[in-house]
Amino acid sequence: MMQLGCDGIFVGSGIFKAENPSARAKAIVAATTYFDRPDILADASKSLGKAMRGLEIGAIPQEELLAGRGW
Amino acid sequence: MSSTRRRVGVLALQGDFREHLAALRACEVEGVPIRLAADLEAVDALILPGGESTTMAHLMEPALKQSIQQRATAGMPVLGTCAGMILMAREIQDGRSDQESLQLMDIGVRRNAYGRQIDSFEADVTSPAIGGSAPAVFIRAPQITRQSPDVEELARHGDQAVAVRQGNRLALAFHPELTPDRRWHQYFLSFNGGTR
Repeated sequence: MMQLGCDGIFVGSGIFKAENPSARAKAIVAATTYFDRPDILADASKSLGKAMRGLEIGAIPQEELLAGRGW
Repeated sequence: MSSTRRRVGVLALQGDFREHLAALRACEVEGVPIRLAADLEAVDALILPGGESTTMAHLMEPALKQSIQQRATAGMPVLGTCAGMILMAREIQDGRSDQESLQLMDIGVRRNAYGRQIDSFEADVTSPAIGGSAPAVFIRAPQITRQSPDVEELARHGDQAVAVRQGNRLALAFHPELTPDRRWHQYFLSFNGGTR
């Protein structure tokens, strides 16, 4: 994203569902700051564990779906 | 060091470094984004931009902080605007207790001293350094609460010093990079640099 010209990256709360949120947050900051340094990008991408797993919408109980909330 | 080949670094970890780089281009000076200690070797002067001072201090690797302090001690001109001024101050008030500074100027500053975002403002600031007056943008600006006798006051707004100089270091509480007036940058570029 930064290489395409973005000013910055917004990290959503899904990061807390990652295997290691703290390491992933640091890695995202490093990758955003040093986006034009492939060596730092490669280093930052190591040993992060798994990111948040996607959820199959059919497997989410009706009362937890955002679509039904609000008015 | 000929002035036509001068290169000026801009700390580019957070904040409005792009605006400073654009301001340098307008002054026909090459701006260099600075993110790592090694980047500093290629420049003759350094600008610490506006932004969020705690974040910038946090993102600076220790080697970069050390290099900036060493180069500044050796005479490299340094300009700090808004958050950059906070980074240069010896003491910081109303910051996090673990907020670090580069301690480049013998001044004390208070963060967000004018209040919240709604209290941000523009005002004309007059100074002999720029030969008159120029519009100045104060965004959640810091205030200078203490200055040592060898810190020269270059401009005031109300009863507050808003532009101060100590040797080759210049600190502005406002954002000269956000107006088209380039005289503050030109004044900074007139400082004689130390050796690399």
